[in-house]
Amino acid sequence: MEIKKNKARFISIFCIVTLGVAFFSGIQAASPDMRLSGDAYYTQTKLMDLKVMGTLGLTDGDVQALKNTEGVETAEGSYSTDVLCGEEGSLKVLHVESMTEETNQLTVTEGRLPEKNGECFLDDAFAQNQGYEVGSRIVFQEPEDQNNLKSETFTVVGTGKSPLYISFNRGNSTLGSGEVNGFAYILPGDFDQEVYTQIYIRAHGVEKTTSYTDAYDNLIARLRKNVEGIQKERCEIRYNDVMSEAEEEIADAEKELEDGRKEAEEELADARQELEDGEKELEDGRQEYEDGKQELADARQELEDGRQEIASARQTISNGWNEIASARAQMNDGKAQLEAAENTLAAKWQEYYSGKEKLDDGKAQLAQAKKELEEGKAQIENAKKELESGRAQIEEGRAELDARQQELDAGVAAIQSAQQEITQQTAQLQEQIPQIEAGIVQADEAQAQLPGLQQALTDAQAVTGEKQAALTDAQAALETAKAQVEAGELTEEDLAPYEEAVSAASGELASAQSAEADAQSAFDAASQTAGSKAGLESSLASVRDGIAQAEAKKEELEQNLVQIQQGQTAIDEGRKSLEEQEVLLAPAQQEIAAQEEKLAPAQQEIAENEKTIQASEKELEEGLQLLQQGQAEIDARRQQLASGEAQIQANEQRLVSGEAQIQANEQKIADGEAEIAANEQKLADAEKELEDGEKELEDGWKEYRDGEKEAEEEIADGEKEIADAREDLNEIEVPEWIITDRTDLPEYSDYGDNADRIKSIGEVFPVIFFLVAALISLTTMTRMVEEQRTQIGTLKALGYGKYAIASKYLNYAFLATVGGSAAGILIGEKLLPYIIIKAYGIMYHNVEGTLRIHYEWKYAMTASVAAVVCTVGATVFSCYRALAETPASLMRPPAPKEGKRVLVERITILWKHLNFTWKSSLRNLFRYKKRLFMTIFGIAGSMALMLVGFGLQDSISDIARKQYEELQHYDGTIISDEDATAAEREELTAYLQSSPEIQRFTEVQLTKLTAQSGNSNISVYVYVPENLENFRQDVTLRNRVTGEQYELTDEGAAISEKTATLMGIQVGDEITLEKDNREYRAKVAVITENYMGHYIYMTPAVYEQTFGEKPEYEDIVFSVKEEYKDQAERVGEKIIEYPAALSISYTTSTADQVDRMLGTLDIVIVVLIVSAGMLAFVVLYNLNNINITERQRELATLKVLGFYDLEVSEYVLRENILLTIGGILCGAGLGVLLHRYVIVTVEVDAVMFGREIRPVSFLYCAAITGIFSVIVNIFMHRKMKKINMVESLKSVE
Amino acid sequence: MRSQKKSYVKLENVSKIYGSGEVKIVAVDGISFEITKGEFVIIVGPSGAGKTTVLNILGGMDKPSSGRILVDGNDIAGYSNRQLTRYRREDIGFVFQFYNLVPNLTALENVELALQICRDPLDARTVLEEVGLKGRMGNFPAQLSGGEQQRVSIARALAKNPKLLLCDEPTGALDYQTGKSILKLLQDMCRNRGMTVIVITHNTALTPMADRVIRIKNGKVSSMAQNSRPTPVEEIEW
Repeated sequence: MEIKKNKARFISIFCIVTLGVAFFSGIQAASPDMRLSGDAYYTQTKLMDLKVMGTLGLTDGDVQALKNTEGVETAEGSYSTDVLCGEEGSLKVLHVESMTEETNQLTVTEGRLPEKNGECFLDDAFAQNQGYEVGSRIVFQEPEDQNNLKSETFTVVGTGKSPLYISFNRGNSTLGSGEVNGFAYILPGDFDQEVYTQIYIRAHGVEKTTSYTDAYDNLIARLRKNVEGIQKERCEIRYNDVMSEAEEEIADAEKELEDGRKEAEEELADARQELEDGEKELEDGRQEYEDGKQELADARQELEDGRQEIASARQTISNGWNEIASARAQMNDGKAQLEAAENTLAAKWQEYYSGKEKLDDGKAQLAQAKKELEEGKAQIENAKKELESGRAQIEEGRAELDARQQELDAGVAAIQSAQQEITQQTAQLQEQIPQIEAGIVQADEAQAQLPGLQQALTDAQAVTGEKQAALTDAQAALETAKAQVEAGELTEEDLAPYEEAVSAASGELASAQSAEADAQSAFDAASQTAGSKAGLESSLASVRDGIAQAEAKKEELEQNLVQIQQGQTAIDEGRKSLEEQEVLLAPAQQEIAAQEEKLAPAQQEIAENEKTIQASEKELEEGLQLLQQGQAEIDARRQQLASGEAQIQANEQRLVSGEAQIQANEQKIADGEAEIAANEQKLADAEKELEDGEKELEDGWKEYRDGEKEAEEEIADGEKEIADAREDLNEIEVPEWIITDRTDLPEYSDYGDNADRIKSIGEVFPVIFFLVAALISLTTMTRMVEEQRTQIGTLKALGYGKYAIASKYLNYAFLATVGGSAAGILIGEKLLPYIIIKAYGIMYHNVEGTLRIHYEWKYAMTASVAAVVCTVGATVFSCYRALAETPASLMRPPAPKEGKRVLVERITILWKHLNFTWKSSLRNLFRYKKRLFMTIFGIAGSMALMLVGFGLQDSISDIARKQYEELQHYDGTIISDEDATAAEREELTAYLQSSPEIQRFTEVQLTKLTAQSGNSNISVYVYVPENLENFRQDVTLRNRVTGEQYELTDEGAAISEKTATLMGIQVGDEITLEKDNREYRAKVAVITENYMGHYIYMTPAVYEQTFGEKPEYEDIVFSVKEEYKDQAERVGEKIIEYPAALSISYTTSTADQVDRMLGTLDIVIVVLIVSAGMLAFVVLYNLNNINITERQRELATLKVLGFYDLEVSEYVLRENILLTIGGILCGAGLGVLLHRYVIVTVEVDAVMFGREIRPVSFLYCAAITGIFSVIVNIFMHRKMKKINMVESLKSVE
Repeated sequence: MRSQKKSYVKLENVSKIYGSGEVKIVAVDGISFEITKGEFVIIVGPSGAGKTTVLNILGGMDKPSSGRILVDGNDIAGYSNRQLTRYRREDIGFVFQFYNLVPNLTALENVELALQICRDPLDARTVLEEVGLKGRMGNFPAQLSGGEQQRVSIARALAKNPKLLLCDEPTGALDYQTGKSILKLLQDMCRNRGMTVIVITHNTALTPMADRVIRIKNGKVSSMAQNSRPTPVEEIEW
């Protein structure tokens, strides 16, 4: 009944309780629901509880041993490796794992699980991002030094999720950018690994516990202990296995190497043998070739000799021929000479005969001349006679002549001169005469001494003969020598003397012949010239005889001459006479003289002729003799020549035969040459062959050397490998097991942390919320009781008992509350966890599928009971108060609330200026203090809640930005490989130095230490920069509140704020750090703003002072240049290629991860904000509703008075506005406090959330509250418009 | 006072039917009457006769289902809500049975509250003095007696200087003497200020003091009589 009547109130209580309970229990339940959902997923997918990884891999024996370990449900080995895939430049890292049957079940989103080798199951997030679909092919690129997979290309047969990765994070890798981008599952058969990479263990009884609970943690802790129990033993076994196996392998390898070496050596030896044989062969061939060449050379030499010989023979022959020719020439000369001589002789003979003839002619002429002369003489005589006859005449004419004589004398002088001339001529003649005479004598003598001459010639000829004989001898000797040569008794050289002899002889002969010729010519010349001066000397006597004879003859001739002179004289006389006659007979005389004159030359001629004749005769005679001698000589010579010719012919014959021989030899030589040529060809061929052979051999050697080198290299490699292997083996330590549990899975813990965070929020937030809701319902119920006081009074007056009366209201309140609670629980515990888990599902998408939303009765009951207690309690309280009054007073309208002057009225100036509506409003506000308080509290509460929501967002969402933009400015940290050499490190720093993309880098020591804080330990990063200048750019130290910046100095360490807060440290205190189980103390100089993690920044000096050792700068923080900021990962990819860089953690990705993790809180925050808004609305509505209902009459009055609707609304809503403003102001203050409290509660140790709420958040909250207020006011306005004046004013009721 | 015979207020066949559908309550059933300016009118009738409805309609607090209401020549039946509010604001003064003062405003402020929305108000203090509350002006309603509260209420209505002063059982919650004095006040106001006053009462004893008496029965005007010589209140006993 009452419910029906007071529907609005019922509903409002119902709603507010619903809201309160829903929110309270819903948020509270979200945390366990999250855990349950997670756990359900883990159970469903059989997520491993422990993962064992061995530093040396794990064997089936390990699996078996683990299976047998207590508390282990199942253990399963699996393989895994990291690969790269995708395109160059945007390579992605995939973690490839083998499928397991009993653990880590995959959830298929699309397609199916791999069933045969070559198929793979891909991370669906990765597939989506990288555009892989079911059916597409994917290529896994393994790093060069790794070969864990049997094949590279896989077909994607399905995509889905793995329980190992519940969120976006896929863990880290040493490949690529250092972050794993996705996972893939393939069948174990596709792995080419001998040992398992890891063993997954499921704990026994894990289904009965829930993840993220202590029960589970304890179970795992026990299990871990058990597993650790067998670790040592198994590791020992594994170590021994590996060692023996490795040693065996090394032994095998060594053996193989040895075999290989042997083989190689054998092969090489064979090759060498072959090569050497080849060389030897070649050498032989060359030798042969050389021999052949030598032979050929010899042959050629021989040939040359032969040729030489032939040449010399030919020379000899030609000499012979020459000799013969010369001999022949000689002979011919001789012959010619002979012939010439003969000719000469013949000529001589001719001459001689012609001389003789001439002589005879001369003689005859002479005789003739003589005769003529005679005749002339006779004529002359005749003439003389005539002359004589004419003498008379002459005489007669003499006178004339004399006359003429005169003339003649002149003429005589002339004649005399002529005579002189003649005399001279005569003298000459006379000189000649002796010559002639001598010649005549000689001729005579020659004629007489012809034999002598002949003798001489003969002698000469004899000499010639001798010489010829000598030549002959020589020739004979030559001949014999030749014969001997031919006979081979003598060498040709030996012929030389002979030949020389022959030539000498022939020379001699020639000289003799020439001598002969000379002699002959001399003889001729001599006989011609000095009357054989030489011949005379040789045959002086005979010549003298000849001369004597010749003188005699000369005398005779002189006599003759005298006679002639006499004749002359006579002639002269005659002439004289003649002259006389001539003179007389001038013409005759003249004639005679002319004749004489004529005669004189004739006579002279004759005389000359006679002389000549005589000389000629003599000559002739001599010549004859000589001729005869010459003839003899010539004959002898001819004889000689004939024999010489015969000899020559014989020699020629010999020469011809020699020539024939030579020709034969030449033929032989030609043959030899041909042969040689052929041989040379052969040799050339052989040479070519040899060259080829050499080349082949060289190639062979080269090949051999190459082979040898190769073999050596291979062997060296093999040895190095073995050495490396051995070294590796030495380096192998007893393996360790790395046992990790679920907390090590990426973001597994985060999920639990998030659940805890929700729980923290649920512990604070809904309580406030619930409080507000409870207060509101309390007000409502109080109001209701008060409104119905008359009715209560009536009932009481009618005799109803207190309980009966109260029960009505209690039932009302109870029903409303219980109903509201029930609805709240039903809705809240389903909806809120659903929303929250769904919200987290954005991040932890795997869990989405296994939503486990249970009714958390604990929270439900808490909330319901609290709600019931609040409302029912309030009702009881109100009823109690009402029932305490008498029915009479109850029946009367409640004593109207007295109007009271309010404080503001005291400020009269202000008060007077207020109009009455304002006055009324203000007075109203203070008149209903409870309502004022309730309203303000309600609005403030909602506002505060909203502010907490916004504030959380501010605090949380900003920390990543603040931490990584305002405080830590570097872009990444390079984690160095501890095993890297100094050179590798230098290489890395050199690269960082030179890279155009790197802004700066600082080597730092970044060590994680433990610090004690109360009961718990916190992990603190000790950060020691090498370069303080860069540090200033890398990290900003500042006070969070004042913003004052600090410097890192040697005075002490700078510690992060949260660390200081947790440890209760102030500036100037000392912080205690634990390192290697020793405690160190460092003075704190600065407390700096920091949000993520705990940091202690120290200068190297402070570090050294604190820890007593120099810092080891192993890690490097770096910043990329502004323009590459968004490519930090790409830059990192290049860095990680350097061996010194083990991995890189990027600030951006850390920031992103933090953002993402905390981003899920956004949804929670939205839920908070929406709920708070709803609360604000409900509060405002409810309170306004009460207000209006309470003052309906008043409002009706105003309306009747003629207030416009708006004015009426204003009248009331002004109060609302004031209350809202007040509520907002209070809420802001309350919100700040609440926010601080919530933040501190929600915060985990490692993170400090921001403490501030951004001003804009206040604005948002105020605006939202205002908007709700306006909405409520609009509702109220409508409601007020509907107020029926008539009804309202009708009665007091 | 009765200067013009011309009707100032005229109701023509006004009906008011509440409810809809099957159950219809006819509160006013074709009422017609006329009132001239400056008259003191008493509408009398038994409870449930529809007199309050008539007053409400006349006061612009309710609309008739049919008929015309002419006030000073304007048909308010066709007025919109806003026009009605304005009509109330400017032309009507209301006096309620239960005073309906604003509890957290003083007597003076309650009057002033009404005045601040008027165009041509009277001075609040003067009016309060007139109604005999000179010394109680600063008191809150809770500090005043019923009569005093009713006086404040009347003062509030009068101060607006309305065309019509409508009083719904103004003495209903008051004792006899107080009631009498209130009625006297109303009559005086009418006489002195020439204000048209309409008083609703179930008490027929009061009819002699009116210039015009309209009797209503079962939603209908049973009779309307003009009283040429109204009796002063003091002389009426009931």
